[in-house]
Amino acid sequence: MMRLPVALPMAVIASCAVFALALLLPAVVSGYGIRILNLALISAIAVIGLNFAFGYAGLITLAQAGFVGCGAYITAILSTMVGLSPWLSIPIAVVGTGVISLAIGLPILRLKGHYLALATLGFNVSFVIVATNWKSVMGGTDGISSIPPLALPGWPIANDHRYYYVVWFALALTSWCAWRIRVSHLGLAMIAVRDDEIATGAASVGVTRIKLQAFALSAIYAGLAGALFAHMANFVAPDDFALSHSIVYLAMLIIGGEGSIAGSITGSVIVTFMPELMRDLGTAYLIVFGGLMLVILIFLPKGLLSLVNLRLGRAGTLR
Amino acid sequence: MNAILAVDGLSKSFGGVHAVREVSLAVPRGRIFSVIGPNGAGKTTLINVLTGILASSGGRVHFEDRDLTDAPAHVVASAGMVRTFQNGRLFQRLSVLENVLVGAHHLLPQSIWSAIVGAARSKLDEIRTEARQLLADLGLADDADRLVGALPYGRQRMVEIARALVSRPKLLLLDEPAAGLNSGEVERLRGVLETLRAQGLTLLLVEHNMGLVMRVADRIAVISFGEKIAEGTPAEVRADARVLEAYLGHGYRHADD
Repeated sequence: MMRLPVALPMAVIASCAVFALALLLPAVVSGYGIRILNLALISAIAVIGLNFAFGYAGLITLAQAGFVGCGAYITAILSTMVGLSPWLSIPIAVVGTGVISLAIGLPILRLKGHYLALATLGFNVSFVIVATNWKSVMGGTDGISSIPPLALPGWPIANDHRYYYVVWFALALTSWCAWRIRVSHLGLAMIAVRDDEIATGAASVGVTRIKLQAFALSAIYAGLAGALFAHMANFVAPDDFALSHSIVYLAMLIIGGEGSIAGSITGSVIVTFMPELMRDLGTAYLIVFGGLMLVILIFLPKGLLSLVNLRLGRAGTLR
Repeated sequence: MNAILAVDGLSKSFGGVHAVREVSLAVPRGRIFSVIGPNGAGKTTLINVLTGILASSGGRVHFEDRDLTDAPAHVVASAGMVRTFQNGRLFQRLSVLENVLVGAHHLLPQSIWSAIVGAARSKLDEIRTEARQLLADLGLADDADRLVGALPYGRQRMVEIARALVSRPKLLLLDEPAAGLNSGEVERLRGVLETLRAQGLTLLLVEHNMGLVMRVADRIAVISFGEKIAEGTPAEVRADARVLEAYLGHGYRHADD
């Protein structure tokens, strides 16, 4: 067993405890609340993915909602028009999204900083335009409806309370994988690339390859999130994957704490529930949201989770 | 001569500026080969071209019978030619130990799958043990789990050497490792360099600290205005009229008179 710094076992134990307690939530949360919770956890998967590219490798990408859309549409098309079982169409959607990200990543990851941000933004905008206009396959503005729900033999996962366990399991599994990658040489290399690209190359890391891996991981996570979304909502339309959603994913990551898996989840849950908690404010909640964003950027640049890390004594290293 | 690194007519120009002009070197295996020269002579540019940071403008680089001319940086490092940087380039968000582990990247399987469940994990554990030993040897045992930015400058330089050593280099290129070190730290560095040579490692040492170079180098090449003007043992180089001229300027003889 590898040796962990002192604070980390505490973080791991705390994370496991939170996950275990979260299994009890369907018993206490009402119908609408559980739908929002499912959405929050699905977003969390996409944000953990974004954390590879943005939090670790420092790639500013605004394509995350586009990749979520890829996953959602691939599984929607395969499970409606082709008639595949969702258990088959979801993995195909995940792999397919990964392949798309490699095809895009190979040319555009030569770009840096703002230029990369613009190129990924272009992808997201293009995705929505294609989805809106390719009516025969992607259904245009009407989207694709009647997407079948997931089902186990004798236990259809047709309601949100049951679907919660699917989403919980997916989030637990993807968080665990993300943690494994973070503590591996790949995670170290991703963080190194952001800190100093030239020194990373000189330390025997193939910089292009590691950026591509981070980018593809972020897309694969997004693809899974999209596929899970499609089979929960049973309906997908272009608006759900617009550029504004990519910005929201980025906001979730920054509010929770970039570079942190637990932060990714925290940010996703908070940002998803905020409009619900402030429903009385109507659209004025955006002012509160913007204000919160500012406060966090100024006083907690490492996100809300850095408050917990301070208590654990190693600021910025809870991952 | 059994040269581990053979540089043949290597050039690098930036527009009209010839930073390195047809430099040829043969670095003997298992020795400390030093490259010296006045400020701006092109020493760092030379290292940058050798290690794939900059593209060459002409000439060839052969390392252990492999043509590494203009190979990408990570290919050069994986081949066994590993460098440190003049200003110390460490990864500020990583701990000392993690910084060192990055240097072992090419020794590990590269797939994501192997990082999650596969062979990369146990292999990384082995390398982690090795890296801790390496840090202990360099006097950094207690610093392994600290963030690298918390270390004083002299120790940060040692972390960089540890990161290079964990790559299992055959040739270690050090770009001014003594810059900014106090005299005690320079002595410690000298000990490290001599130990590494005794272990059979070849070193290419670019350095300004003449005291250090004259004591540890087996052979010295002198570069001035991008050209090699002299090469030989420390004693030979010290006596070379062109070297004195490059360092002290034209007319120093008259001052003697």
